Amino acid sequence: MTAIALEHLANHALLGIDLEVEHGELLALVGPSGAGKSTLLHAIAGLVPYCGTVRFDGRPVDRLQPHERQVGMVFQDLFLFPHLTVRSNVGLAMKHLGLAKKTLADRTLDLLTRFGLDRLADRRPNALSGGEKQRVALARAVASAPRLLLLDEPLSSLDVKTAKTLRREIHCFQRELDITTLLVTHNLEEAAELGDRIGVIQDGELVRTGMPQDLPAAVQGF
Amino acid sequence: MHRLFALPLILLALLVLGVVVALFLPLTPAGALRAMTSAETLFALRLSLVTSLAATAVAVVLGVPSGYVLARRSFPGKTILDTFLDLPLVMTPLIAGVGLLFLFGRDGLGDLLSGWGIHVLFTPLGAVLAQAFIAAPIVTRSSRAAFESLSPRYEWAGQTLGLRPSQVFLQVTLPMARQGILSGTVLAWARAVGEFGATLMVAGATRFRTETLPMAVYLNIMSGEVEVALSAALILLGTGFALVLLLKAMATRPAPATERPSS
Repeated sequence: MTAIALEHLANHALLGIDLEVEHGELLALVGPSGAGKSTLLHAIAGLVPYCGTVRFDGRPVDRLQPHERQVGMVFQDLFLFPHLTVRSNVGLAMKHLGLAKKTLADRTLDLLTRFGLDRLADRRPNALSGGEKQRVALARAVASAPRLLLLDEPLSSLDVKTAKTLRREIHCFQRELDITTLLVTHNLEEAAELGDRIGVIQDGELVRTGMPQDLPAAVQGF
Repeated sequence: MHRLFALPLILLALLVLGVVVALFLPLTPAGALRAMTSAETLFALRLSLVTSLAATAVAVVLGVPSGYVLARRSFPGKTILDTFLDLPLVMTPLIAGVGLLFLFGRDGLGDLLSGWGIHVLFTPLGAVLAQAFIAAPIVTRSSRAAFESLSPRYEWAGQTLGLRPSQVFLQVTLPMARQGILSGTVLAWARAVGEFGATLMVAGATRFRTETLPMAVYLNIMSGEVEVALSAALILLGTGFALVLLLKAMATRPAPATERPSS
């Protein structure tokens, strides 16, 4: 279980976040722009300072550096490395695992195939479509088998059709890999479709959590 | 309008051309070849290459990390420190040389370094020091600009992949900023090759000892050996031209497209 209890974040009005995510669960966080959803994910990943406690399986990770937290993240603007090929973008996440060269190459190829990227392995990110870039970002985020996956508006920059396709894919791989996931989105339909539970953040506070079917009532007013 | 503005451009180009031609004119092809292959010119060329490359290496080792810290960190007095680091760029090289002369002289660090067998003043090492002093701010500035143009979120992305900060720097930040850093390095090298004032003060102008190309020009003009002086000058000009051309070629090469944060 992942437990997050944050009091406040430096330079940000994020207050009173207290939530728990079960192993393998996908919790979708919704809320208006500026509510602090992305900042919450950055805090959990250890990328911004915060006051409070983040626990993975009961153990606090607050003193751990971002690279030690075993958190995978897809950023809103992806930040794929433009100087690396798709293969290297994904493989980079496994380099620190100390795998043999052959194992690393095989695992990278398996992952690329899983995300339908094997044909694009030697391309650079700037030669990919929006949906392909998104797949690379997802593959890269899960490559090192993180304990927690953080998805920050992963589909917001895609056209409706591509977003729907990728939504299905996220649903499948999240179940398949059984990976605990926090998804931040402003798209209520996306949250309802992907989330096992929904959390509503407003003015820096987690105001309620509930089941997807409760979403319409929960989000009234924003 | 364009024709009117073209006039100053033509005048400037003619002035530069006039200077280059004036340097060529006193030389006959046979005389230039003889002077360029003379032992003194070859020594100066070799020493210039060695000292300028060493100085550029020092400038990169000091300038790149400094540029990174200035680009990524905020701290009290940062503007003052930044301005301070730029001083060698605006300081007359002669004054920089006098400062280094006192700093590494007997009343400064000279005795201490001599105790360790390191002799800076009036040695080729002094030339490296003087050239590095002038070149380092160029690398610092260009590195800082290159790092600043890169969203720190690429580094965040690297960290969430499990890479240590040093790995993120070497595998993400440095390769992505390399074009800007390389441009600065080439410019710093060009500046180091042509450095005269500070080198004269720190390393002196001793034939076949601290005689870099600019020093060869100076020594031979002073002693009336015009052919050797001008040949050394032409080698310097050619080197400078080639380095600036390289810089322009690097500037026109497109860098990989990066994503900017939307929020």
